[in-house]
Amino acid sequence: MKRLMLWLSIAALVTVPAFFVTAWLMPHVIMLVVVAQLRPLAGVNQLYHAPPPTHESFAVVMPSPDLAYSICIFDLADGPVQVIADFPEGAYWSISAYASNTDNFFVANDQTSNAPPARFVFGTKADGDDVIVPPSRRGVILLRHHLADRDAIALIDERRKNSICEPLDT
Amino acid sequence: MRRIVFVSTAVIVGWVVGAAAFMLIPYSAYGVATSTSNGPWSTSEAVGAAGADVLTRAIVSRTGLFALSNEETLYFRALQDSDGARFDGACRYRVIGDAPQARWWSVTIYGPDNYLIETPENRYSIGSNDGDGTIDFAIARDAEGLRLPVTDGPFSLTLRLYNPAAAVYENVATTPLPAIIREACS
Repeated sequence: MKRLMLWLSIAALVTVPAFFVTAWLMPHVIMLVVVAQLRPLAGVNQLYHAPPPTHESFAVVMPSPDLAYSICIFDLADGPVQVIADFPEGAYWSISAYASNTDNFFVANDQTSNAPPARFVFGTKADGDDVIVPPSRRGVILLRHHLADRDAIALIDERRKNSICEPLDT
Repeated sequence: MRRIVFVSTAVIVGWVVGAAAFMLIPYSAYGVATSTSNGPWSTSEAVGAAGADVLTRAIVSRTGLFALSNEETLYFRALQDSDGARFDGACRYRVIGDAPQARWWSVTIYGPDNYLIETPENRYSIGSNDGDGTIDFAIARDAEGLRLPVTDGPFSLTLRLYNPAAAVYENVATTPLPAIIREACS
């Protein structure tokens, strides 16, 4: 009986840290899985213009059907990455960037940015004062444009195809 | 040798139980990670933020990956109606209230797996473009007028407020949000 109690005590002591370690790991693992799923579409340091989300969209949970998404998997291994966001003016658009632990470390929208095409550079502190410095070398950048009417995607596509995500030195 | 087996099995079992306990948290446990309720809606000011605690970040990564930080967007989620009853696709609901104070807003319906629901109409959301300063629409399999279609079974709603007014941030728990009234069930 004593041995069983000791065994259960050891197991119980491990349970709590295991719970929180799993919780800590979860966002990193989910990010890796999602990036792996997106990679054939988006590539690294390249922009992929996704079609408007539907019931057949399973890449990311809880997609907003009111947004046109463009996705860039960024990797700063070879230096800074620049993003140029080009959208029709007069409607909401935003650029948001996510670290490898899923934190949204940067966001700007049409009211807080220059008129499109608006340029953003992601890099390290050594790359300049105006550079956005991610907390992780890899992550995901999303461009969102409000889709007031799902038929508006044609007009948005016409402009957003000019958007860019690429290494700065190309 | 027996001692090593004794300790290692306890550690392994404890670790598996701890990890499984986290993995088995249902999606509805989103409420655990939220900090503010407002009628049937709940939200977390830590969503997407670098300051989010471990549990909030983990649950959001499962239920709302790539959410914007609350400086940009407030996400209110509802799993039940204004009387506290879980949503049931066999029922008809009315969502009614004043339009939230935000640059634009939308209400999206999701299935229990947190993905968009397939319906004959394939309409997934209703937003500021559909209203005239007020919110008044149905959630039902069939209904006249403005409607979010639903299928049988549980579902959830997400109200997104993009660039909310300062007054919303100051009163997240009391800012006017639409009521969700269950009208009838089949």
